[in-house]
Amino acid sequence: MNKYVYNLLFGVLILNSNASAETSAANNDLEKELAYLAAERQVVVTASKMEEHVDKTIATTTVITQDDIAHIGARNLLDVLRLVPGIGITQTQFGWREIEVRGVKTVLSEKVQIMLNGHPLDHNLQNAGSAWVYDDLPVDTIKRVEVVRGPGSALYGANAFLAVINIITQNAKDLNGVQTSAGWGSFDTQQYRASWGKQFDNTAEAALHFNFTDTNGINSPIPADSSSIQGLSSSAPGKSQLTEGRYDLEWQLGYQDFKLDGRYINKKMGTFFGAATILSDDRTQQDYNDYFLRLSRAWKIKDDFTIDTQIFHDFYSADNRWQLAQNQFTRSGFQDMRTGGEIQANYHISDAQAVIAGFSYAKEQQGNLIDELGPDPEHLIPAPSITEERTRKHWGLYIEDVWDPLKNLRLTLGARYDRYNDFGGTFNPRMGFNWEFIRNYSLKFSYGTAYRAPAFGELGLVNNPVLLGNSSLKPEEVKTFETGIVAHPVASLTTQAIYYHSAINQIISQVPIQTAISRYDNSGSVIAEGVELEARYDFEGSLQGSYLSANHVLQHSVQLGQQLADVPRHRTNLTANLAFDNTWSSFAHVLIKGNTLRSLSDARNEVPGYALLDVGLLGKNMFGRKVDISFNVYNLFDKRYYDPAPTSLSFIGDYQMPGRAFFGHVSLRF
Amino acid sequence: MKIRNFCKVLILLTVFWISAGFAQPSKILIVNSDNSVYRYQTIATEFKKIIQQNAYQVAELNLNSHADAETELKQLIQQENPGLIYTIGTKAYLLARDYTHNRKLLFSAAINWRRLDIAEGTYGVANELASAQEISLLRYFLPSIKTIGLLYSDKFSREYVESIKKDALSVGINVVTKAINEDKEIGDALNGLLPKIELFWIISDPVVLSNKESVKTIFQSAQQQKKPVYAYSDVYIEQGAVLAVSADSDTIGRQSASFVLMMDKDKVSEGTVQSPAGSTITLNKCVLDALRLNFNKDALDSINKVVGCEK
Amino acid sequence: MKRILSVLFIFSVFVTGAYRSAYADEGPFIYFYNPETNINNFASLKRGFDVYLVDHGGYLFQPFDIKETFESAIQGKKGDVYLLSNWHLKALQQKNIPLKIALVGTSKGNTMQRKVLSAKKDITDVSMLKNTVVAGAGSEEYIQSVLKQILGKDQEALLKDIKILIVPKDIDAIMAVGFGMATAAISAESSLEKLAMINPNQHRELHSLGVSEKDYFLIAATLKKPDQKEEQLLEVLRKMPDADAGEENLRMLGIDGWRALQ
Repeated sequence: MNKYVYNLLFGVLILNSNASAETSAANNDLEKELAYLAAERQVVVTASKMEEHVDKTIATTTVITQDDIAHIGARNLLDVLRLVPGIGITQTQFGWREIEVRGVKTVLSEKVQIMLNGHPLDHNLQNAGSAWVYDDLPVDTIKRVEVVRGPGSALYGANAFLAVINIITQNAKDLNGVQTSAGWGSFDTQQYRASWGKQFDNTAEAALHFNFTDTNGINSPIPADSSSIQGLSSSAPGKSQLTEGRYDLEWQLGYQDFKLDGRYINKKMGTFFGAATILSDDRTQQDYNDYFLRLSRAWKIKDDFTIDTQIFHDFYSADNRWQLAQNQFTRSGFQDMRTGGEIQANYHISDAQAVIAGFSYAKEQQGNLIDELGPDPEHLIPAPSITEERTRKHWGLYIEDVWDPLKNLRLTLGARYDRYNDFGGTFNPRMGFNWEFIRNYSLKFSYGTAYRAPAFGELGLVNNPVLLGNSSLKPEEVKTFETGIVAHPVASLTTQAIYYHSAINQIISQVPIQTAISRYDNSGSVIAEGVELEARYDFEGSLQGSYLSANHVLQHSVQLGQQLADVPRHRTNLTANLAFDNTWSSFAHVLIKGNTLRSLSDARNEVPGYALLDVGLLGKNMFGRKVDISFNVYNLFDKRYYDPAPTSLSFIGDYQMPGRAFFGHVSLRF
Repeated sequence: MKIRNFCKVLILLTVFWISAGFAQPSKILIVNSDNSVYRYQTIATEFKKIIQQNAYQVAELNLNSHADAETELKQLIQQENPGLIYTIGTKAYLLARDYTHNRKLLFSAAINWRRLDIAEGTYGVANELASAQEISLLRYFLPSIKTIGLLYSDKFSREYVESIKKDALSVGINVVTKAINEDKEIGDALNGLLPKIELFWIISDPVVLSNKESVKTIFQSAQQQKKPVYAYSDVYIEQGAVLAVSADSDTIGRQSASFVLMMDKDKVSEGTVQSPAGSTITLNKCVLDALRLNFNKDALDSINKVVGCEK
Repeated sequence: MKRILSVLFIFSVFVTGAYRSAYADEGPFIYFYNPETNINNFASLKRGFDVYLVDHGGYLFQPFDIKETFESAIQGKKGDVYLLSNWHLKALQQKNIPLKIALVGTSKGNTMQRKVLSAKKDITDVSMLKNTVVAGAGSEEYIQSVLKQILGKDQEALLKDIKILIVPKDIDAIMAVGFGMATAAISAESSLEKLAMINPNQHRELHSLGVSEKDYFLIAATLKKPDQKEEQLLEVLRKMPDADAGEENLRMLGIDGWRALQ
């Protein structure tokens, strides 16, 4: 009987239904439907369809996320970059670091374009390159770093020659409140950071970052300098003076479709052992100011047709005091400005094809030259300038088509023409395909060219008794083709094997024209080729958060039939991260670098290869997800190793790099 | 570096890849945009019912119950190692697509999926019935209607409206459309549109249907101008729509489950997005009679619900 | 405590309502369960039938959408009329529930219909349905049984490799084939004719892979030989097509009249 009563309950519910119940149910249903629509409305597709998945792009790309950076326990950008296949970091005599890419390395790293949130940072027009103030960029505010190896001029124009390193920082949404962090470590290193970000209801948003870093730098022994080997009075033997203090202030402000962003950096630093190979003290001082300001607006004409516009102003100034001899100092400085704009149209022809095309214009100016000389660094007297005030204008026109004719095939075709008022025009194409020939196995092929524009210092160097500028310089050129396979043989495993071949021509080098006098000229070429192998496995289940990754690079760069000096033939990174639980994880990294070659005229033995072990412990999301703590030991076994001193400085000996070093880091979120 | 050496390395890697095998876990992670939303909840329930009958393990994440849903999702994916991620609602899809790591992704209940950036390895069951189906049914039930009108927002419904126009044209129906950017524009837009059309069609556009006021405005204007309203959901019948052809949420859940079973048998080509297979057709006879519309009587047995005037 | 009390209160209201309704001196009832029909708004159906039946003898109509609930209602009561499918009736008879056919529903003069397994023309043979989705309206059990009949003994093994997708209506099942959501569909012949009107292009693309045996549309049955009271109720049912309101109600059930079996 009970069963019957319950069985009938359903029927009775219908039986008892009446009109008022139905009306309220209908209202309720409408509310449910509107709630569903509201839930859907919250989501607006913000990701640009032009953004490509790493697997699908034709370029060879490595992405380092904020999470990776936390595990590495990176002290600055260099600690991040040295894990990327094909990239090596070495010391220069001037203090800043060289970024070697695919077996090619220069003191100014001018063949690598560094960008911040897509804005090029090669603000130093006198000497080119972006490494001056950006090499040791603080990493606490970085969301991800994308390293694209290979030529990028077809999209980015000048100096995207061997690689593009795009640093993406946290925006208002990522911050959503206040974040602070502090780090302390060896060499009296201290870092502090404060960030604030908020999205407002009226579409306004703001993110502000402030970083402060101070360090005494590595105290490398300097056994001799150019004075001491001549028997003159000298501070050598002694220690390098790589002190550094820097402030970074970054802002990202948005309202509706407008965005105003930029970053200001002041960096004061010492030197390793100076421009004149003299071991100095704090009387050698480099002082850099760098900022950019960008106002951009996105225009949505139609859903499939948008236009991005921007105007920008970049500023870079150097005011450096160098010790030239025991009682001789020089002060040199200049100010560079680049002002311009860019308009880019993005058109999605269909779901399978998108075209972007753009035009850019910029005016570059150098002025406010400072040249002084004298025995007393505090009372120097004006001297003839070694460079010139200079103005350059250039414009560029580019187009790129990304087309998926088949679901498993992507074709990319692009080209850019740039015209400079001083050295003329240059045309750079880029093309390639990415074909997923079996599910999870993609074959890539690409060909592209790039150029590096001659720097003002190369075009207009004057009053230098040993080196002359050359106003008829042409840009350096590189032609690269690369091919490889990206595969995911099993879930969580990513592997990649790439072969590249680059021919660099019209290299701007110092060519002797008379005894003891050289001049910048387009002379010589380099062939660089190599294989980059990468694998990463992310564990699942109880080991979630753990990963193993490895990359190995074989590189072979040849100039005039001889292998290039000062670069290794192979380099390996092995990384393991073991997550104990959702909070604690440990990290280990082994860098194995092969012997570094010498040039033919250098009788010294090759710089011996080495293996370094770094370890770290990270505690994340502690105390209500508000606190992260990490502690890292670099070069755990205190291995003594050296970066190569170039042949011209062979009398000094190679640069001894730091032994065991510690770094602790705390970050707080409010 | 000789190319031969490079080939050797490639061969070695290939051997490694092949020997690594292709393990296929049979766990499914359901990511629900907000399980307090009735439609999402219904779909999830039906989906789970069938998927569990077929011995799949299920893990669930409701985005609405986590402040940091992104981290939760990442952790859950690593912990559970699902072979497939099933998302319900646009929010869930947009979040999950970044963390699939080559897992299959099946989405549902996302308004106008064509506006989304559909990545590789993604499958879906659309939220809207195929526009051709809607148009065919509309023509079958109300054969004399030749001009219909609708409001939509470019942001959410552009692609869907384009397909409606195309399908309507092929059966001789003219569709007059007006795009709006915010709900404030509805009144003016309707005043311009209604005189030109014989029937107004409500599509599932979140900008047009922002709140109850918008719904009220639509029905008041339509009533004043004696224009029938055709709607994508039967919730508008009570408001005064004459006919509603809605995608059946239960069927979307079941269909998604069938989809998964077929995917595991490699019977679905990649990137397939299906229209919902089930419809619920509701007729408001009271409005039909009041407006003296020409209704095809033979179609009466295709109607799921007939609502009369009695209250 | 307040919450517990309010839950108890609501529960007691439900149970009391259920008990009172179950034993109210109303009826007899017409009980209805047929998942093959398109109607799924039982409130409208009940309202339509009740309005008609109350005026024609004070009867009441009770639709069910859960099979087991319907079957329990049959077992517990006598003297009412049950509307159900012939397939279901046969299944109940096998369970020794002695239901007897009193009337059969008609549609356009016919009492029987066949179910058709249709697919697009590139599916030339039922063997091609292995590992595919077949759509149909009704219960999964029912679709399985129709499919089994159509496939015949030779192809019966295919059944385990076919995934059934249950949709709300016949027309959904056929359109699911047209729009690619299913490979084949089980539907009534009349539904295919309807598709020809709704979407002629889709109809042209389909062909039949097999048909079931003919079966009655809908059956009105009683548990025993009808006595006078039940005969009166059956008579009311039989006369429904004579009135517009009655015919409209029957159309919602997919039929337009009744006929007594000879």
